[in-house]
Amino acid sequence: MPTYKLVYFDGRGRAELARMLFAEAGVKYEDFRVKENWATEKPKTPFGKLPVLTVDGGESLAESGAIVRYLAREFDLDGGSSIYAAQADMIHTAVIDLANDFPYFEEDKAKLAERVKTLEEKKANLVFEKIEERLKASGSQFLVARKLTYADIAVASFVDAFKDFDDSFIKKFPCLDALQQRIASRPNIKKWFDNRPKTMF
Amino acid sequence: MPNYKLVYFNSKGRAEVVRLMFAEAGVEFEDKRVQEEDWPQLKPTMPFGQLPVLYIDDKPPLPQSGAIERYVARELNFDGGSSLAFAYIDMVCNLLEDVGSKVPFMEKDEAKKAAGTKDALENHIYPAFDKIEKKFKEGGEEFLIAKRLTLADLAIFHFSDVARVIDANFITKYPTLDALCKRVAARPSIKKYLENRPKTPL
Repeated sequence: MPTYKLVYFDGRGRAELARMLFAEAGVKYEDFRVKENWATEKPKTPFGKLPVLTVDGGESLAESGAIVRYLAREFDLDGGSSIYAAQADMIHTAVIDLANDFPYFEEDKAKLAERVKTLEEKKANLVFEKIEERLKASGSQFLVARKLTYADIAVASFVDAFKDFDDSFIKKFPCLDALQQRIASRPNIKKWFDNRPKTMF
Repeated sequence: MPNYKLVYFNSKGRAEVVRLMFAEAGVEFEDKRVQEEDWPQLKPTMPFGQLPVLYIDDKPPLPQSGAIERYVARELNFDGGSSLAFAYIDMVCNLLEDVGSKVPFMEKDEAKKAAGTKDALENHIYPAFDKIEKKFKEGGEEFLIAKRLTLADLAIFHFSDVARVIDANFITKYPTLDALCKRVAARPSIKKYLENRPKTPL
């Protein structure tokens, strides 16, 4: 098994899905969190951003999407064939696209509520409706390939993060609600959720 | 070879890199371009109500340009030949998508659009390209990753093509990348494709 080091800020944000993949796969990694020293760390990154993954101390890999897809493949969590990988990819990409609009740093409560509502009405409801339909129609416990993939974990990660903004959102989608509960209660994921650092974002 | 049908609007946008891969690989595909007036009726029938969408034989249609690009790259050997190489290719594409998305193409207020475009260029696009150029120059290779033409080279080419709309001399600021883009455009299959494709600004 290679040595992995994942570098991010001290928060869930764009690193949490990767951390959940490490947890689910039971793979050890260094969970490095940049706290005060971002100014010195920043120039060391490929593009001045986090997260960054290094594998066996090699060249740094940036971009959370690239990191997640790489780990999913390495840990056999991408469905196992290129068409299944593509389906998991499309779901993950659609869900992450929503997460990019999270109003993490909105301090005005009224504006925050409005931004969350807009996000739901303009994008999130449609995406989740479509994924809900898909899961319901498949009659499977999982979104793709009839087995666990990073698409399932991405939905669970989204719901976990979106709770900070609207914890009733997922109730509109009963199959996905059940799915994310199943994921959250998987032993390795549960253990990670129970033990991870408690952070603001 | 499966039957491919790529559905998008009549523009380059989020479908062009896939079209370039098909062209370079010499793979036939149906290049379906949806007219604006037909889109409202078609939209609810699409998996996520968006384009592009790729149909592969009779499989369920695949949406999300990133997922389509990655799938086609793998199928047609533009993925660098290993998972790790593909991860770096993926990183470059994500970065381009990320900085490109900062340009307010849809902004109707001209002043806001100009200001937003300037901000995108100066604070996101130029810094990213400075870094890619530096690394590529230092590496001294013909292609960005894995010593062969990959999705990353085509993505840079497409970005440089479309970036002319917001900065007419964009890629000339980056000589090594400029030379790469010229090499890509000169490849026989790509050259033929570029000569024959519908001419659209974006």
